[in-house]
Amino acid sequence: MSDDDTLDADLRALVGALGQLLGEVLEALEGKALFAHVELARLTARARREEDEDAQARFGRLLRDLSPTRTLGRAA
Amino acid sequence: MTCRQRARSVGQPEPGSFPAVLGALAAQGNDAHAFGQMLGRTLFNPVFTAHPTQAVRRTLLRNEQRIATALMARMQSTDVLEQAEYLERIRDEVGIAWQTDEQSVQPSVADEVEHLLFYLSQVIYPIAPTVFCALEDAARNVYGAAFELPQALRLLRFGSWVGGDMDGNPNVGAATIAHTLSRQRRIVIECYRRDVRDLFERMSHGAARVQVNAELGARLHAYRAALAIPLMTVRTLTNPPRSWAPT
Repeated sequence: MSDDDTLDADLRALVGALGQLLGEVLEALEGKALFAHVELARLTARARREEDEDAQARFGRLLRDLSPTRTLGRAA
Repeated sequence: MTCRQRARSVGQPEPGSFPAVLGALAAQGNDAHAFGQMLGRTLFNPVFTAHPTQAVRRTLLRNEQRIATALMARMQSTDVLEQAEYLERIRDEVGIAWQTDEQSVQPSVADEVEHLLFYLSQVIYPIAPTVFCALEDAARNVYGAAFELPQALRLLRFGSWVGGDMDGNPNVGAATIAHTLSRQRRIVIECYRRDVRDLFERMSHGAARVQVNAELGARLHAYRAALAIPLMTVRTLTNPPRSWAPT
């Protein structure tokens, strides 16, 4: 494994740890429903980047259905 | 491990750093004189553009800064317990950020100016001298300890449209420009005052222990005359270097 590969692996691990931390904070402060919604958006956005053909439409629907209140994370 | 740590661990300068670039320039046959001339022709001039809608509360900027500091500390630590502690600190800060109100109304030009001043005083001001020191250190490693950066080097300058960009913004005019310039001047002077105050606290050398040369004595005399600070009458006899501290 080259130095660059190791660096990438380190950075990926760190970004992963920070992403998990953010998820834990969201769930603890706002509840499982909001966390699930954010997680769904994240996974759909990733699928869209990976050229999943349906993901673009699913991602569009997901965003259209968001109210401003919910977008700001203030949904009950 | 950061890029810098990795580079140090294998004895190589960090790619793109001053040591790496200067090493490459020297390897291409550029001597100290040629390098000095290059510096004289080089200007980095980042400009802050005006984006009123992107003004972020200072509270949140400080919060991001604390997260970044903890993150860097975590990356540099080799102690697992300490790393966990930094991660907890980041967790707390992320939670605080989530529960902090953003700008509740359309940010004003003044908000945008304060946003800029945060970067000016908290990011640029502390880092700019470090850039010149790092550059000079790197040059001395390559060209010898006698190398000095050219006098009056204008390598790094900053510009800003904030508070003065009247293109399409009816809220920007002569008054906001004057306000912005005044705030910029005041914040930089505040930074200098803080630094001088810190130096004053650190530099406790006494005349009984350290010989004060004529040049410093003359400078102190000039400051005393120009600034008229009452404090110095007390300290001049015993602690010359501290006699010109700001009040």
